Amino acid sequence: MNRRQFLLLATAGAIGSALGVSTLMKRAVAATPQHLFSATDNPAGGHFLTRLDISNGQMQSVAVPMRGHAVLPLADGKVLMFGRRPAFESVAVEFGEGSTTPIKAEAGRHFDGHGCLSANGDVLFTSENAYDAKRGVLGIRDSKTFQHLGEYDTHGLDPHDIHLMPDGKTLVVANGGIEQHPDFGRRKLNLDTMQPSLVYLDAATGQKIDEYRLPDHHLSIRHLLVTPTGDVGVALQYEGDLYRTQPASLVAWQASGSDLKLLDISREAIAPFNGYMADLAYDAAQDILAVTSPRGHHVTFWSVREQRFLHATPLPEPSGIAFQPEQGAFLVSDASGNLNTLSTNQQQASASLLHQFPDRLWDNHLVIS
Amino acid sequence: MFKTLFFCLLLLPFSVLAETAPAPNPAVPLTDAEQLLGKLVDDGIRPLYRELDVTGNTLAQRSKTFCAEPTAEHFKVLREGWGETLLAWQRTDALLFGPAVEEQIDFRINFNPPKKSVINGLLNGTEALTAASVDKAGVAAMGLGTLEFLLFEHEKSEADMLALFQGDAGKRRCAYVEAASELLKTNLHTIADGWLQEGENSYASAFKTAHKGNSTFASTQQAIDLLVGKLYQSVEKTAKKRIGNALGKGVQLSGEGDQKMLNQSNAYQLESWRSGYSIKLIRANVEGMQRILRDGGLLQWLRDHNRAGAEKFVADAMEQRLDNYLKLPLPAADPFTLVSNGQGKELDGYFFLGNDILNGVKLQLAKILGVNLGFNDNDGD
Repeated sequence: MNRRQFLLLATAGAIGSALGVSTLMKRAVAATPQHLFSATDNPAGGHFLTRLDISNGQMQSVAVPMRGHAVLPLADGKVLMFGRRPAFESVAVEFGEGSTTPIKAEAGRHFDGHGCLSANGDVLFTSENAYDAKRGVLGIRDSKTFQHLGEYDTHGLDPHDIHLMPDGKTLVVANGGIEQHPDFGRRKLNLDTMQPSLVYLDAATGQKIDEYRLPDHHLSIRHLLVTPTGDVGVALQYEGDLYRTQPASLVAWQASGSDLKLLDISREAIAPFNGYMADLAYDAAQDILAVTSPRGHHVTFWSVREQRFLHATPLPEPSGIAFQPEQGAFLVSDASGNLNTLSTNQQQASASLLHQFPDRLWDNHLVIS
Repeated sequence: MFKTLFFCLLLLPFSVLAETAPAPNPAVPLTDAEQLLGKLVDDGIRPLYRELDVTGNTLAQRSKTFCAEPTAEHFKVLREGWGETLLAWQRTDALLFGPAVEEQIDFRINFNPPKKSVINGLLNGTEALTAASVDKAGVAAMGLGTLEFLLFEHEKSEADMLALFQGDAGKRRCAYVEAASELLKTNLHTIADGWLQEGENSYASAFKTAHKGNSTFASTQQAIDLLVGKLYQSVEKTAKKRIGNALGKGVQLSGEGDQKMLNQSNAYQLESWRSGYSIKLIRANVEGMQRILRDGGLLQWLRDHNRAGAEKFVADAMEQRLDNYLKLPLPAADPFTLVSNGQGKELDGYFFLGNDILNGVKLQLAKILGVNLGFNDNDGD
């Protein structure tokens, strides 16, 4: 496939599309959501992609060769699991057969944990690190064959989460800003000079459309949520000295067409979250953003309308989170193997245990489809 | 048997703390911090670095002696000196912070796995091999991994390896060993000195006075968080990466995919497989932990501050775990050969008891000290 063919593939169906991003990202999903997918480990350190039937608690786990991070169900029934950085492999899992298909990183590249599809679902974008060149890139692959087609520059280091915007034409990339090299494991090599950024790219050409930064360069921009109307929520991780300084916030929001802004929280309220936010989900009806803080052992809730922190509810190492519109509640996994349902309003949240799997350590993200 | 033992060990102590609420950061400062931190540095950490400094010096001296007179006896002593330095370094594996990671110096000590192409490039080159030229070639050309590659081959006897040091090619190989040993000595001394230096601006002083707050540590809790966090990372490497991966472990406890994963055992994932030090190495990791926690007084401090009734239990359980691990027998045969021949089961104890230490640190030691560790976010992502 040449570049022209790829561009056609990537843009086909994008023009004029007004699909919501959830539809775009989960286009393979059945009409009635019933399965939860997440990377998991067992207590001995084995790595799996796990599928759970939410209605009856039946679980199937397929062993995979590397620790995964984010997952992405495809239209053909396969589920992609992206390797946790620095991973030289991601996998496509077929639960029916319990089989895995490896997706290898190109030479000099490793996967950074996330990926998304083009508007028509034919092209897969993955966040990757071109480590010798110290460059963040998006790998571009055929979503059926996983053949590598090319790559885009992300205009920053450490690209992590990546989403397609509702226009079907624009990619939003969280450049975490942290330099790393697989020779040095997961060590962070540039904390003094890190420069995280939120970058928008033309999905068809890779051209940079826009770039946003936060006032504190130690706030690593890591995980994103995109609403159907094109707003972007951002979960942040603080790389400064928490023992001396608390960050101004750990959550940011960019209303469509506006600037990227930190949501308000007091210094006292932010301290328990230990500078670390993981996954995020959004209840559009209440305009409430929920963000998990595994190091803070809380799920936090934020008013988007009022641009401020509301409250938090304790859970042990909460990790993946998704909003279930039908139930009007959030589903949250945690490191003790529990799946919890959280209902919230502006004042408070209540958690109830949905399923318990003591030998299952849920990883940072979950997807319901 | 080890699996059963592992489960027994796992279940017993878990019941005390596993069901407790999320790890709290203590609102009150750790008491008697001056005594705690001082003893950790003086009796736990500094002796390890003093020994490391000595082994580095000895290795460099033995390299010189061997290259001046490449006899079988000198070669034997040199290889032993390399092994002693490797183990002394591995005893400090839980201390990868402060001076040990300043400017990523730890990768100059032990870059693994060695890059054969880089080493062979220098061996086959024409530029004089000195500490400076090896330094210029980068981390893949230096350190313990490089020296192991030069001094050991798994399929070659000591006599066969000695033969590689004969003739003109042998002289260049020896010059490389001498240069790499000299550079290693310098780098080890830099790290050791960082801990052994006195004076109020030294790292050791900053650690010991963390309770007063200084430019390095804001509090005792920060120092303890760092120490226990690095201890956890070290034992995780010891239990999983350095033995579990090689044995193809990972999924037995769930009963899923056993055979598939067992078939993935890979002797090349053992560290220092060329020299046969793979098991000695992980034992050295645990010996280091034992000396930091026991000789450094942390376990006794817990017993002396038995506020919640659990501190003494945790200290005793951790001491027992470390003892159990170090009572495991050294394998009679070479670890690489065992795993390659499908006899890795003989090494299972190191995997299971390593995981027992890991769980002890995570579920007991860290919690009782208010240190926040986690699965989901370890090292961040």
